[in-house]
Amino acid sequence: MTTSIPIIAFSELLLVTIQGDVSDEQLEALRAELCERIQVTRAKGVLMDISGLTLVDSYLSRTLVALTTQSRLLGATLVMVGMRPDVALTVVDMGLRLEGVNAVATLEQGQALLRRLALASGQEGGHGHHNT
Amino acid sequence: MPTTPQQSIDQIFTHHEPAILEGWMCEQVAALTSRQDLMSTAALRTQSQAFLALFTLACRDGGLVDITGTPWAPVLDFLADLSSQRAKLGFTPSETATFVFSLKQPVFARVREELGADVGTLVDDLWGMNVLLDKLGLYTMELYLKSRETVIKHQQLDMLELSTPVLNLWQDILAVPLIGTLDSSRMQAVMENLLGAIAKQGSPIAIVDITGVSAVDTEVAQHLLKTAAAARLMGAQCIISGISAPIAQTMVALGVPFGSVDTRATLADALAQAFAQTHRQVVVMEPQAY
Repeated sequence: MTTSIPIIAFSELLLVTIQGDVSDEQLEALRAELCERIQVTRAKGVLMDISGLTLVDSYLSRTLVALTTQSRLLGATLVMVGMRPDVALTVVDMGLRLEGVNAVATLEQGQALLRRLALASGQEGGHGHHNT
Repeated sequence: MPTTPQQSIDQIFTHHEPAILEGWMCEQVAALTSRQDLMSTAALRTQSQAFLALFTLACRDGGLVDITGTPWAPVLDFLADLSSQRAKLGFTPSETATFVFSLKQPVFARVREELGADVGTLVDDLWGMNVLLDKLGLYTMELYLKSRETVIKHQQLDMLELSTPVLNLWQDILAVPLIGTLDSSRMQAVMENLLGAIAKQGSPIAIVDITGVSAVDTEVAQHLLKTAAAARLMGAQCIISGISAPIAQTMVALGVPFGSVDTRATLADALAQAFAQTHRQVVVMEPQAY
């Protein structure tokens, strides 16, 4: 039995921290649990800290895109925080496209981005403003 | 009693070393008069004396034909040191080779003096000596070139490090000014430096300025795009500034998809864009009344 990826709620946001190697099962579980948590907490933003992620494969990047899309459908914006340079280069080298995924370098920037999007929203779901 | 060429040569060296050294010094000083700035006559004399001593020993023990044997090893080592030393000091290749080749004249003169009567031995000796000194001279050249190559390689590495600084242009704004010729290895260094700085400082904006770059090929363009894509994944927006008209034309001709990257004409425009993006404003102050 693997441990699940923790989801922490704070100030109307959800914080997901991915550390080290994650299995496909863990990611699958995360997708289901994140949906549930967004619905329960009515969170408008999800900060996904991937600074501890050292390896990325096509499944993981597909999951990131899926998490972004399903969060949006539930009214929350997902922001990736702190991807490492080598991981970013791998993603680019593998030709993986993380389309529609928001990315920032630090948690503060993530919070600021979500705040801005919340202010600008109302008419739209509030995604894609950060030129990703 | 007839002597074999080898015996006579090594005797000549043993018995007339000081005279040969004098003659050799004269030759070298005449040839190197312009290089007094790089090496003093005294230092040259010390060097020549040391070489002659080693050379005499090698001639006696190792023969004149095969210079790859153990007896010749000290001579070759000496020449290797000399070549690399002279390459670093700034001697030209011919000046370096002159060290060995200028030994011919005094040696030949001495051999003629000693064996003048015996024409057959004289010709054999001179020929053997000639071939030997040519070999040593070529060896010197080869090592000279090798050490020059090493110097060039070091300089390339230095350039690589010097040429890719990541500047903190403003709070939250990084800049990389690229100058000169871009190649793949340099772009790789730029990419790693920039992404590393983004990760370390969490900067949301990175400006890559290529005003000083004369030409960009497909590979370099791909590297630029890759850097921008990776930076975006890390949460930083890449702005490329200073694309010159010829480079813009090349990019279009090559069909590089620059559409996904922010580009600005000048570094100033890029900075203005960066300020706007980080919610900053530059305000012109009213002149103070005196």
